[in-house]
Amino acid sequence: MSDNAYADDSYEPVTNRSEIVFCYDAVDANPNGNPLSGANRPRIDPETQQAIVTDVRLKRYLRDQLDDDGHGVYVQNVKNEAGEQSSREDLLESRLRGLEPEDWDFDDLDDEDEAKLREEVFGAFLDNSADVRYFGATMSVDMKGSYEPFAEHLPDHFTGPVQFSPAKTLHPVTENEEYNSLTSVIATGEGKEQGGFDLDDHRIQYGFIAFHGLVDEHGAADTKLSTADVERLDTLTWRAIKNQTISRSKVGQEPRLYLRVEYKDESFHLGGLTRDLDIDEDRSVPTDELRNVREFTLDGTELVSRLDRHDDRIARVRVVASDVLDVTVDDETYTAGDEVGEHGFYDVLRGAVGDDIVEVVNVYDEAAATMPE
Amino acid sequence: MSQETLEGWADEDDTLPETCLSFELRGEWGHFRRVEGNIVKQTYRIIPRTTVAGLVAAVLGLERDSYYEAFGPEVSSIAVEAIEELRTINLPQNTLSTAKEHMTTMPSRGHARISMPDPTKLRQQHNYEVLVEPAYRVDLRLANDELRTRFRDHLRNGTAYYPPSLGLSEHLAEITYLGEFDVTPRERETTEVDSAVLEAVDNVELAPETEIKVERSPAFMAADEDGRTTTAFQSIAYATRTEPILVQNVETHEVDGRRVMFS
Repeated sequence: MSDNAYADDSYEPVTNRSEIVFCYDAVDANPNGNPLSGANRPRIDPETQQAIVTDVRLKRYLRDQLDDDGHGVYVQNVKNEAGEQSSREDLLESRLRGLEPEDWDFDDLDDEDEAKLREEVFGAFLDNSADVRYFGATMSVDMKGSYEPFAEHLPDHFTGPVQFSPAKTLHPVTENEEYNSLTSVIATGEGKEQGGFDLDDHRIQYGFIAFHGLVDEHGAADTKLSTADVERLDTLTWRAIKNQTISRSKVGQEPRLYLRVEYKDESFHLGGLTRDLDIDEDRSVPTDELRNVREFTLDGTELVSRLDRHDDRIARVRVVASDVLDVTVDDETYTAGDEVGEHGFYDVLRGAVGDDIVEVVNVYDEAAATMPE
Repeated sequence: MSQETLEGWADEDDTLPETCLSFELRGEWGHFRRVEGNIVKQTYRIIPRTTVAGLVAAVLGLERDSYYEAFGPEVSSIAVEAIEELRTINLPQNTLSTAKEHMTTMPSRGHARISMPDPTKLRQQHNYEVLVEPAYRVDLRLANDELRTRFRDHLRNGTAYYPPSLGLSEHLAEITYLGEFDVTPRERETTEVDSAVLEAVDNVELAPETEIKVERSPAFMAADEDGRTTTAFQSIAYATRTEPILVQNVETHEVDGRRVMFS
């Protein structure tokens, strides 16, 4: 697909690849249940005892936050009202009804015409479906009769230019035992008088979770992912974990570190940045006794030295760290400063890749600017 | 730089070079869906040859369904060696169903229609078997000069047009270039093979200490009207703990001091 896959003057295409490191922690929570286990138990790697959180779970938080912020979201929560939904389907429907094969000279469609056609059919749908711009969507295009030539010029699916790998905790976790057989005094269904019992409620005591994400600049045009969309991620991920973790099993989760490394060179990214993070075992309590972030210290030595080694290929680093997160780099521990927006870790990053390369994200001020108009 | 097609690149006279490009491929997760899988989405343990082709095509930025000829049996050869112990876990997911009866079609009648999964419907539960921290060494020979040169440039520069992944797009992968190595053919003999053993399952000599497994996975594809068809499968034997396997009477190649089998 060409760089200008959609004919839309207001659309500002993504030109740089970004790699994202996003960490949050979970205290006495079930960060991601396994739907096929008895009581939606936390997912835990049986060999390493690390807790696992799927990309699907993170995307749900992000979609719910996009929805709350008033952006259009196509894949909605089942619980939400479906009213908004139909408007997006209506959009697609009216565009398709308006298609006239006679208006298009299929033997002579150049890139520009194709971009126009895509904009005509999918443009408004994508403009109103923020989640599809980020994460893509499955669909099938069915064109019959004189409409058949359209199929060749329209995408048959949207691949998400933003991908997150399923995440793991940086350390083994311990499952809580205290809540094993919760009994509810609330009726389990309409017409039932008795409360439920044996409503198992499994949580982990503490988990520091590290997600790895990527923004593909070449796939971006396929879903109209814009520069503004990418910058929105800098505040969206943070606020999503703050605001969308309010159900019973999800409380106790807080964002701790966000880092978006934007690369200079086309087609380049370092890869696996999240793997360069580790728990600093010398400065954390033993993992089976970990209960909260104050007992935990992140080891960012490898991450910083890797960014340092490749600083000539980095355009900018957008970063935000929680004021209660301690990070060690080269045996030195860095903590938050006296003022909001100060953290020793930011200074270490500045030293590694350059003052003007590091931009500290002011989540709440910036978020206002990324809201829908 | 924009995505390219391979039209006009196929050259009948192309012969395989005497060197291969070697790279390491690893990620936190991998899922190479087995074609026979049903309710449980099972994975191959060894990255299938067709997936390696797709991965190289992604690095090169080749269009979907455009590259199968360049990875045909006469003009390409690939050896794969698992370099970390192969382990899987189950990662169930709630996903929107794409079964016909769960798709919403817009408009409901007419000749220009689009179907999408209905996101207001309940999710379906699928059990995905995923590889945990899979890692492979891949030795690749490509007859097409231009493709080979471009791929080597990407490996050297650490670039990839589309970000590489291990089977599913969310299973982000890392590629490390190991270098270009001579490929030296060896006579048919009984020898220890470092790579996965191809089409020689009956010749594998079993040892009590070594657990060997066999899988049959897609090897070659061809483009067709609907996209693509798998045209050939191959039987692969591998040791689960990545140790070399003794195989009787096989044709192997030597690469970088290792014995490998190309297909």
